Amino acid sequence: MNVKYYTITALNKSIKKMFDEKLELNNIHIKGEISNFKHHTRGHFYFTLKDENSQISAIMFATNTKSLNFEPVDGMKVLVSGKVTVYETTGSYQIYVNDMQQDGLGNLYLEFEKLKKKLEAEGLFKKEHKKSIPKYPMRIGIITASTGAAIRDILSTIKRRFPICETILFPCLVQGADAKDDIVRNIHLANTYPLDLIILGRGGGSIEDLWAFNEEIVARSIYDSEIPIISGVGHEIDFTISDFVADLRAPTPTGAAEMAVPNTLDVLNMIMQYRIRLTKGITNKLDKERKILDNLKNNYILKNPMSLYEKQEQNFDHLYERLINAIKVNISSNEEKISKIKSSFIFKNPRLLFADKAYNYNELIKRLKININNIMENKKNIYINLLSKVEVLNPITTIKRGYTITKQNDKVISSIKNVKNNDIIMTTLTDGIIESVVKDVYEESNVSK
Amino acid sequence: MEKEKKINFEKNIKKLEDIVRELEQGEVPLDDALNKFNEAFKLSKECDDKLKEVSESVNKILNKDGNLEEFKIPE
Repeated sequence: MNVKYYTITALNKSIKKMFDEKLELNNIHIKGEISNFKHHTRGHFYFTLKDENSQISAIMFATNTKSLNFEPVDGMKVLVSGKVTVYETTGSYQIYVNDMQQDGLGNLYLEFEKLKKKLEAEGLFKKEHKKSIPKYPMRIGIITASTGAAIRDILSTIKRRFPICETILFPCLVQGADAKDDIVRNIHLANTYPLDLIILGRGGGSIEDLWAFNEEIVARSIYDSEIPIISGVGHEIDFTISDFVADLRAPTPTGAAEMAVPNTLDVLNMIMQYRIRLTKGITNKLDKERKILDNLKNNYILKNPMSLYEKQEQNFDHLYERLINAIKVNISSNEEKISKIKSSFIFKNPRLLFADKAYNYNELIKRLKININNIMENKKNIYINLLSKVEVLNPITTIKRGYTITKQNDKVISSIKNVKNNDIIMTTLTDGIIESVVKDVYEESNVSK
Repeated sequence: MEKEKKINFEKNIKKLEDIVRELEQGEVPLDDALNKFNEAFKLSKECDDKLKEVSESVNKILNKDGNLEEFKIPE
């Protein structure tokens, strides 16, 4: 038997041919989860895509990875497009990825809403944190890509409206995975220049294209900027987190430039209006002052200065008259008082004053004598009265009238309760004492029976 | 020096506005009013002159070496 032995190279080549002829493998879309991710120093990505049961090796070349706006990590769910073919050297098939997106834009919107809520709760969007935008900025920093529509629109708008304004462009990545760090770096950098204002701008694009402006570090560096920032990102309908944090949000880059600078013609017109108002103001003032002056000139007093003197003269005369009258009245009333005193009765009969006093004295003596006699009489009566009372109260006197005093052991007996039968009692009479023995005691009620 | 100029424009306009309002109220004594009028007119002239300065707008770019160089508006 003649057996044909293939070389491995021929085999792999033949298998590769089978893969390459199958059209659907040439441009296939698959979804899966990234694992074993390696970012090669030369820019290529090597990783594995897997689902619950199977896996496939994947490679993405640097030419394709550059346009990614995110850095893949293990565990990330992705949608990829590419070609499945055989790597002959190792005899393994793998997918060559030329485009990759994060699975489900829904994720991005969720992230957006989550970050928006978080920063809002922290107060980063609050009005009171917004810096005021100068009306006439003379030097504006522009952070955007140095090529493309955005920078052209911003600069031509500023030139058209307010050409005296100087600009400094800080060229910046505005999409891709490195954009967020570059924006932050440029905001810091711009803050080291003496600028009145910063415009942060980018032309329109998909939500992934604008994603850098939804990054938390970008939002925070806008918030931290000392120089006021106007954001003009994407189109009218695009809102980014940067728009919410910026001191002023413009719908587009052109809009940002229009909001940043005034129109020179408007400012010139305004200055002219101010001049007109100034002239009117000073003219009115002069007219007013002139009127006051005219009024003063026509004033009666100024025209007849002697009238001031005449009036005072008249005043003086009047006051003088009043003074003289007042003195006269005063004198005559005092004279009247004196003559009244002179003609009074007592003044003419001084002795009457004494007679009166002598009468009073005799009368007092008389009344004193009567009073003393009355008192003496009273006291005598009281004494006699007392004497008779003393007589009645003396026990001796009582005994004389037939009463006796009965004692036992020198204590006076005043009740039958003080004695019992056979007690010895002593009875005092006027002329002596009787000693007796108690035979019996009867109560009052019994005695009367 | 450049910085000096730009601060002045905004300040000058503000001062001009204030004086216009003050004079319109008519409460300023005449001497003061005349002085303010002169000052305001001078300010307005300065601003006017500045705006009419004939100069190409100065656009610069920060290059990779960290230096400022002139930047032409892309066509």
